[in-house]
Amino acid sequence: MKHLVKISFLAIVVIQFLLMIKMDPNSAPSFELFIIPLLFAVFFIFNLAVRKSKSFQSYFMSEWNIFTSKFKQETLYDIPQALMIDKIAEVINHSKFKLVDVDQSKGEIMATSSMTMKSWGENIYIDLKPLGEKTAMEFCSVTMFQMTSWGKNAQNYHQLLNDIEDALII
Amino acid sequence: MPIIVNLDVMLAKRKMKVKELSAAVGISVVNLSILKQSKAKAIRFSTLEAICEALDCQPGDILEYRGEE
Repeated sequence: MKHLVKISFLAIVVIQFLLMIKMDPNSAPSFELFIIPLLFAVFFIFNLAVRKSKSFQSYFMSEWNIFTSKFKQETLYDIPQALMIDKIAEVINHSKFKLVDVDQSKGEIMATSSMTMKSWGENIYIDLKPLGEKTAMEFCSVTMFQMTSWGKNAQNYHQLLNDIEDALII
Repeated sequence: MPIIVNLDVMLAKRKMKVKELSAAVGISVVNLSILKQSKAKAIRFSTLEAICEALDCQPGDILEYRGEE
């Protein structure tokens, strides 16, 4: 069903593009032709404006949001939750990501990467759940405005794991 | 793990708090807490040296091997 939505969206964009190509250059451009580019622009600006807001986490992580590519993984650590939160926050502060929010009570961490020539930026959501003396880390990397992340999300995850491992050498 | 970190014992002997040790050796409280709970993967010689200097002790006072019974 999710793929059907993606394909339908692509079909609309292709039809719009074909209409624009076939348009008579002498005739005045109709308003309908600018609706989709306009919607795109509004959507793009809206996403950029809200991407650093913690309240839009479910919006970006939703499986129905076809404009983001998601990657989820879970890892278990032999370190209590409170220490793990501080440790991950420290690791993120020394990485390319910018720490946006740390919720000690819920065990949630949010970080973002800035826009580059190759990427629109990624959001990272980390959920740390206590399991006795251990901690389960739920990692989710979301790539903005991309239907596929081309391995970037998985790369972020492995980079974070490596950074945590390195940071445990004291 | 058979290697036990007795940092808390040495801190108690020296009547020092983790925060004070952190300031003295330049290692974050989080890292010292991880070390204290024997959850660290490894310890650098430079860290060991700084801790021994701050606590005026020997590496053997901090690290102990306890074979699994």
